[in-house]
Amino acid sequence: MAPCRGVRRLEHREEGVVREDELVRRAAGGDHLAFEALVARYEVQIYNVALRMMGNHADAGDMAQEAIIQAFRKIGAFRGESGFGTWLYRIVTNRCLDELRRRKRRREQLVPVGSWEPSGENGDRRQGIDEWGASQGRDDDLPDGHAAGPEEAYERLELQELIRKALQRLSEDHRAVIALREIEGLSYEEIAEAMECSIGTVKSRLSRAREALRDVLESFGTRYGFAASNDGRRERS
Amino acid sequence: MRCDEARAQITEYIDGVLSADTAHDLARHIDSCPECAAEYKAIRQAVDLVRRCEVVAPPEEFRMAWRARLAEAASEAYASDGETAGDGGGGAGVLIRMHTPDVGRTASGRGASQAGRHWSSSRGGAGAGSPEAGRGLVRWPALRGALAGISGLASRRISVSVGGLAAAVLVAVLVLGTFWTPGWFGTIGRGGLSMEVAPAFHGATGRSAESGTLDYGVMGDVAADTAPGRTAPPAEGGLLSTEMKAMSGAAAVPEETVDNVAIPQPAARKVILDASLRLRVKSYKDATTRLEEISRRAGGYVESSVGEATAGELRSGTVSLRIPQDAFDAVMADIEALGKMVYKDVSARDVTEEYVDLDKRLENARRQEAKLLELLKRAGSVEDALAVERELGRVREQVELLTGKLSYLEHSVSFSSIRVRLEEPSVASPWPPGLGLGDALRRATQAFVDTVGTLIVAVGRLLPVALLAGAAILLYRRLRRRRSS
Repeated sequence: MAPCRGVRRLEHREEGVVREDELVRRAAGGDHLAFEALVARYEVQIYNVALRMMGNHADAGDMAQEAIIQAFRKIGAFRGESGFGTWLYRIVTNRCLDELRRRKRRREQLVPVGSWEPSGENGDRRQGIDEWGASQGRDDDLPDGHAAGPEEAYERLELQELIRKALQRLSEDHRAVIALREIEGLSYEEIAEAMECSIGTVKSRLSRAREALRDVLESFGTRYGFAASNDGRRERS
Repeated sequence: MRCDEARAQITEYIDGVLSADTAHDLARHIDSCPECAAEYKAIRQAVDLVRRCEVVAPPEEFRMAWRARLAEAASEAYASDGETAGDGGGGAGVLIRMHTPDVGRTASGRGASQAGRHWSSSRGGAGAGSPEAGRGLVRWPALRGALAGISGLASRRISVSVGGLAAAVLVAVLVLGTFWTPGWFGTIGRGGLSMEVAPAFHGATGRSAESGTLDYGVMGDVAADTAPGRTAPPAEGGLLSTEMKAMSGAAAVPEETVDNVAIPQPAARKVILDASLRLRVKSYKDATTRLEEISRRAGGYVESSVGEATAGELRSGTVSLRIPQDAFDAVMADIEALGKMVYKDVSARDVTEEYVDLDKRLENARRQEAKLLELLKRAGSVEDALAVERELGRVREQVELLTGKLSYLEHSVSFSSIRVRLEEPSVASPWPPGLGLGDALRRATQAFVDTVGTLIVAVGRLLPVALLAGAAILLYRRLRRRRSS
């Protein structure tokens, strides 16, 4: 299922240029060019995780950049027990979690509890399309190879926007585990590495996150119906 | 299977990580239990929906921004290499400034962490008599603890050895001594010494200076050469010498232990030598000719020569020489013999780290280039080839940049730079400017002459304009007269 997911694979295979472990070794020795080459292989994933977590391009760019620089400073501490990609996922996830928690704390201090839920559906939505959907619109070919007619493009946009909003409704931890599992396609082991917890915790957290996701989508009501039927249509074709 | 058990396993069931038996049990339960079936379906749908989230291509700004920030972070890391690498010690530096009563009574000590960038220099000048300035390259581990202590680098692991303590006392004596009894340095017009101490003893070169009462203790006794034949015997003398001797005896690394200290690649150290001189010479022209001769004989060259004319004759100017490093001392001696020295400033900057770093990066870039070339040959599709070529372009740019930097550094190391300011006595301004009535009178006379001179020049400047204006007026009058008649 999900033809669009074939794009990502966590650990890159031998790419013919330089082997990853060789790059890691050199990067750990302070070679920033090796580190750059290494990160370049994962920049799309790093950016996407940050985007799912933060919900908009501006914050995603900032967080992903900070995570990369942090990774560069800490590369000496990378022991190679997990893959380099997983390690990067960990750093970017943590960076985003920290930032989200910090913001939440600050907002709670400033605004009475309960009033900082998404302000207006419309405003939220428009911003979403600008922030995240717009770049979707720029992509000419669909990941699954369909030519994009205007209607279908709109539906796609609608769907991506729906996913974005659903993710934003989840708690940070749930969002992280969903992003890593469903969107980036990491295994339980990799998620455990990335989120620095046990596999048991990953299972229970993922389970709860999925239930939360279901609740959020159900609360969206009619649009969820649209998505579900769309899903069905796609499976028929 | 109970419902709560089933619900707990839905997630793993969806991900297909349940064992075959458990999965089978769960499937059977879902078939028979409509509530669990609904639950499974809802979650399955939610998961399927969110899995259709598409990969977003990062915007170009992001791709560029993180690379730029990485390069920045990398250069910072290189700059503070010594702090992250090695024993965590890094270097400590101290700058001691001294001024005698003529100039002002200040003494200051400053410590700075300049790990990875070792340089040292000493500066000397004198108002009267022939100054003997010196240069020193000090690498003294024992000083480290003391200097770090002075500079308040509390965060650093400070190794306070007996030597370090003694060195602290030594520095304190220097600072206090200057501060409280400036008379000790009465013979010095102006003097100063600045040095930076590296964590490892790489050897030191020392040369006497007039402010060499300082050099003596700190540099003289520890002078062990990096470049053979560069050491000059330390100058005896100076009132502090007794104290210094005592201190250095306790604090300095005794020369026999120098052999025991593992000196990493002492011969390969890259040091840029740089000197500025100011000489009073009988004839500017003769001196420049001699300078050219000296540099040619030493295998160097004249980089630039700028002359200034006074009263129609070239009487002062600045000549910049580039001299092979091996010949530096000999050439300096030759130049000093040309006239009476007024000022001398020699500095040595150790660029070994910078050099090694550039070299390593260049090697990496070259290797990358070779690999990319190989890859280009094997590239199947046009897109692949283009991608490789783009990357190749970037790497080549890097290679060129690094090669340029490296050769510049190499040249700076192998050719020391000496700037010589030459002045005939007639144009030489008194240095430092004296005080007193006689001098004031002389300066007044000079000012008078200058003013008259300036006026004459002004008249000269205006003369052509005045002539033209006069001619124009004459012409105008004649025309008017003709018209009226």
